Amino acid sequence: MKNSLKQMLRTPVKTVLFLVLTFFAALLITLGASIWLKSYRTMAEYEDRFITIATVRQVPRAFEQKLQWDAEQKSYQLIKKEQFTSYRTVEELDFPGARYVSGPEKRAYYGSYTPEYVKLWKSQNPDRVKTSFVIAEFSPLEDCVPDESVQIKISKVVGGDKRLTDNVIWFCDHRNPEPEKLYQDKTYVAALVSYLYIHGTALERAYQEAGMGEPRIDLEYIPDTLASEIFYPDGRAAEDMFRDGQEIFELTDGFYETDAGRRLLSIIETMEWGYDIQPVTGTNETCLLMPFYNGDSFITEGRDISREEYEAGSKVCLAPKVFMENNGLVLGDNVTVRLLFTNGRKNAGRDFWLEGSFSASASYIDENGETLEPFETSEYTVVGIYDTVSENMDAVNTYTSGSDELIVPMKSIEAGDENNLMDIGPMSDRNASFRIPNGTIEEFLLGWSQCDMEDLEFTFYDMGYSALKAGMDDMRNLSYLLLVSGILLAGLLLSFFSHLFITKQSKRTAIERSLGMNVMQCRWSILSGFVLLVLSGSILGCAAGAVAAAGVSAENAGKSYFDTAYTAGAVHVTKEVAVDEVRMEDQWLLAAGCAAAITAAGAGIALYRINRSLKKEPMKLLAERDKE
Amino acid sequence: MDNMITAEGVGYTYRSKYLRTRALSEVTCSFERGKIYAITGKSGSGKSTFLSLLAGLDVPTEGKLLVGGRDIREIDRDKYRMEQASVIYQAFHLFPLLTVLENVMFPMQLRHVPKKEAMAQAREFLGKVGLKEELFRKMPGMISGGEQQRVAIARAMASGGQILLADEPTGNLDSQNEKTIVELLCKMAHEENYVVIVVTHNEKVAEAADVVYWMLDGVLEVVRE
Repeated sequence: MKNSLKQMLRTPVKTVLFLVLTFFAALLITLGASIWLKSYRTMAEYEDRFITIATVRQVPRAFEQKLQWDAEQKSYQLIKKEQFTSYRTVEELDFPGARYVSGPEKRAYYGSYTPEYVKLWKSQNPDRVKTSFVIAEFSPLEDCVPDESVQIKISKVVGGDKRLTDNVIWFCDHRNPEPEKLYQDKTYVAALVSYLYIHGTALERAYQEAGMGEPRIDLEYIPDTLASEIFYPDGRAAEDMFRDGQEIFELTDGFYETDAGRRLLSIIETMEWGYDIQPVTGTNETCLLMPFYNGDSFITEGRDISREEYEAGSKVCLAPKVFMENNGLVLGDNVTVRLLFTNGRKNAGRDFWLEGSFSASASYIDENGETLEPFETSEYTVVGIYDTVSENMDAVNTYTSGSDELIVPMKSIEAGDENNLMDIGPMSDRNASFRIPNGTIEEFLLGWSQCDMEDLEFTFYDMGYSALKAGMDDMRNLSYLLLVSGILLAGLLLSFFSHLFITKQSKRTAIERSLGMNVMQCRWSILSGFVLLVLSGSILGCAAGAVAAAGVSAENAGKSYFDTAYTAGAVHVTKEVAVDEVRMEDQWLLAAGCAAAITAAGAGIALYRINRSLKKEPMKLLAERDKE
Repeated sequence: MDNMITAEGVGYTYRSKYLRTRALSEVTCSFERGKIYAITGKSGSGKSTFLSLLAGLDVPTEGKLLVGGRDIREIDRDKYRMEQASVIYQAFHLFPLLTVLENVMFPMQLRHVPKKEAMAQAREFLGKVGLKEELFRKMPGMISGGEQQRVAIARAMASGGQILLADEPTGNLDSQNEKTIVELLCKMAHEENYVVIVVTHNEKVAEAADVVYWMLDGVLEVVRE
């Protein structure tokens, strides 16, 4: 080996050139491999963290137009309501080629009637006072037509906040274009709901009395319907004799024995149930719920519901931290779920607001005036406790969890979602979603475009996976370029220099053979020097490559945040995602691997050439005159 | 006189995929220490093939070639070349990137002779072939053809064997150097007791030989004994 090296070093230009080119080839290969590794690892690491979901919205075919009288405007207002010939089902999304991680689901939220638990609203309003809805007996202060705000005196609160008794409040038969005259000497009874501010003469008077000061503008009450709020599964409101019927009744002897009286008493029976309703949402994967997907809701204790539990419909749930604290419950405890109604249109966050108030129904009666009966009662074990922090109040209701909302496996609700329907609607961003593999949005849309269903719209959320992947693809392409250049350069220079150092030195091998060196010694003699040079060049080059790659990685560390907006989508969830650097130990390991590979390739090529040289008959070779 | 090398009906046929060429046929002869042999003949007559067999770089396809009484097929031929037989060539074939001294030390290094000892012996051999001290550190390309051939002879001596095979050793030399080399070869045979076998076209070399063979189409005949 010593003589072999000595002879190589005595051709310094050739040797140094070989060393330098090997250095650059090794550098390119290591840099390319390192960048490839970084992009590969980043994608592999974030493949699990990124989730791509889509919400589904059925676009209405038409709008139903309804005129509603507005006493303040003294005119009819146009009320537009989405109209659908039928509601699309999730099964229709199962088109050929559709790949789902979690198939499409249309969620209902259920109202669980559990007075035994303290709800957020109750904990904030312990005396359960609520004045916005009362059933009361009243008389006007003077004969009047309530086509504008008029004053009435509550003589008796039949249902609701008793403190309103003997109070004078403003009243208007707001939505009735031809209200009947009210007489001072008569008593009337109605369900009264707090509405907007006073208007008409009452408002003018308020300004006159205030003079230059700030006028006192009170709220007015309007009569509420006595009709049931139940829907049929086909989307129609339940047929009820009180729908679009009379809302203000004169109090006569035996009134409470009449249909209207009995209906009012039924309403009174259930009018506080809303304070004891806990929303329950069934889903097939927690991340399909937008609050959890966008990170506003997150598990703080315990764990998520597992895929197996979801598939088996296990009686397990995720419960909000506040609910658990208010009721002295801990992880692993059971929560009673007593399903009273189903809401097939909205999400829980829309009706049960995080700050504690809610817009729950005023009554829980059917079209016959009978109080609703719970249709399913189960015990659910709390496996995870979650908290909710909403940074974006604009998204409240649609994209946040509801107060006290329990999350359960959809399959755990055996009764389905057609019982005691308080509302029903099409698939929307509130209640319908699915999950697809990351990076398959285009593929999905292409497949979907083959289906003839134009009334469904999708909004995709990928946490910026597409942007990240595009960046990673660029990095990967760069790494391929570097790798191919490096490998090509290495291949060419190893071939060329092995020709110079070995094939062109075949006479040297022949001399060595004639001097008594055996084949193995000759092989080692030539190979050792060549391989040592390749090894030196590649070690230096790979080390430089590793350092350069670390430098690139460190430089990018400060910038290694990917905009998570899915640029092709209409909406996005913005989360910053830090991309980890490839560890230095890994860089060195990779560099060592590259150096070993280059050296092995060099040794292989050299060995091939040496073996070819050794096949030549030494004597014949040395007898050739003057060709050296 | 003991027979150092004996050929008994030696034949050699080159075999390729489609062709068989008979290069040597029924060669019978013997070579003794202390003598210089010349093998003459036209190009392609089989001289170099015979020399290749004598050097142990190949083995006869027919007959026997005995070295010190043992069939060359049975001995370690690498060791034979390293310790017993050396070859010098018309084109000298020194290592161009080793100095004159290093070239001569090379065979001793193969035998793991300590560096200092190898260097001293190399100097001695170079002195014996009449090379001046100032040339020892020069590269072969920097000295004349005659000097290179003398270095090749010194390297042959350094191998420690007693068989010196020469393939047209004076082919590239002028008459003065030719004379010097022939004298050196004779001196090695007659004074150092080498068996020297020279393949040559050169009449002067043949004249200086103790025994002259003529080879024609692979058949060896004695011309002068």
